[in-house]
Amino acid sequence: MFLKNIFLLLIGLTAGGMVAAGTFAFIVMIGIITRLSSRLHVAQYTSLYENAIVLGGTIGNVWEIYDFFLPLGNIFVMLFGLFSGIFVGCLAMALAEVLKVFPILVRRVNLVEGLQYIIAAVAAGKFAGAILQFLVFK
Amino acid sequence: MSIEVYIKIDKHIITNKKNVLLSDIAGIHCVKKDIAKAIGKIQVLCIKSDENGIYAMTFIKIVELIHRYNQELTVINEGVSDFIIEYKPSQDVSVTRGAKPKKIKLEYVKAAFVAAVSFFGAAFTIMTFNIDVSVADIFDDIYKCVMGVDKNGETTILELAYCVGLPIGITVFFNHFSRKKLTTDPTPIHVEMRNYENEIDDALIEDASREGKTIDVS
Repeated sequence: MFLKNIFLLLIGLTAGGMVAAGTFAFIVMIGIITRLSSRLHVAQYTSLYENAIVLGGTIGNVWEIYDFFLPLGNIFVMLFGLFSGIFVGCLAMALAEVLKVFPILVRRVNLVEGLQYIIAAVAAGKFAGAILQFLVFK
Repeated sequence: MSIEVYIKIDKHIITNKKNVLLSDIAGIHCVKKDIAKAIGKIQVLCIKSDENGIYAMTFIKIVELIHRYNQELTVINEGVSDFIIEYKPSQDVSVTRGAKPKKIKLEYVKAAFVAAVSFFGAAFTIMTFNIDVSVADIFDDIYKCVMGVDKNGETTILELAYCVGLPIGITVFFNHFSRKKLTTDPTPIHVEMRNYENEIDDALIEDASREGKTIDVS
């Protein structure tokens, strides 16, 4: 029994370590945080963002696994929605960028001007899709 | 025999001066110190506007300016062949001293914003990952394999260890625990930051040369 528990402990620890490496390497390489901080001219506080990722990842994971009650109220729910929304918005665009969707599209259709309208249209489409999914399809 | 002048210019130079001298943007070495000093005083760029601005320049232009001073010199480039001079008047502390505390406060707000996106984004990502790959189901299976009995939805040492292992993994990956670094390497975000800045500089130089705005030999 004791040995089996030790075995489980080892599996859990190593699984956690590997998952963390994979998932958070993804967050860093996709370049959301570098881009945001560079654009807002606060690139010098990198260790702060890394701390935030460590804390956020840990707390989110514990919360999701243990599923406990956190009486933080509507404001926290709103903050969580807002900031994770911003994050996912950046993530989707960053993925599109990594896959070179826009450069290819622009070359294929010989687009010279109006890239900003395409970006705005993508944002509007995402907004409409999210609204539809959460309010209409439920 | 001509005298050799070694010049090293970085890809991206930020300045708050309107009269940019060669010594402001470059490292200069010459066997004869007086020549190096005189070359350093060559005016490279005169910025007319008061706004923030980005000016792309080629190294050949620098060679031309130096040869205008003395044709006998041999210029040896130890830096890049195209570079950017960024003019930022706001860095002039003497002018904006009164406005400075306000700016720093705004900077903290922005940093807090990025930190909040990082925090909630990381929490969100790990939750979606756990659900996406059905971590709970995998833990059920592993528990049954090892202990021989069903877990019945209980939280066991397996989940506890997973929750401990995860922050350890992230900490090792980011190579520091708060301010305390584990090794002397820069952290991944730091490296990505530099990569991103390099890409931006390359794009700016390319843009300038496509639009013919690069300050080049005429």
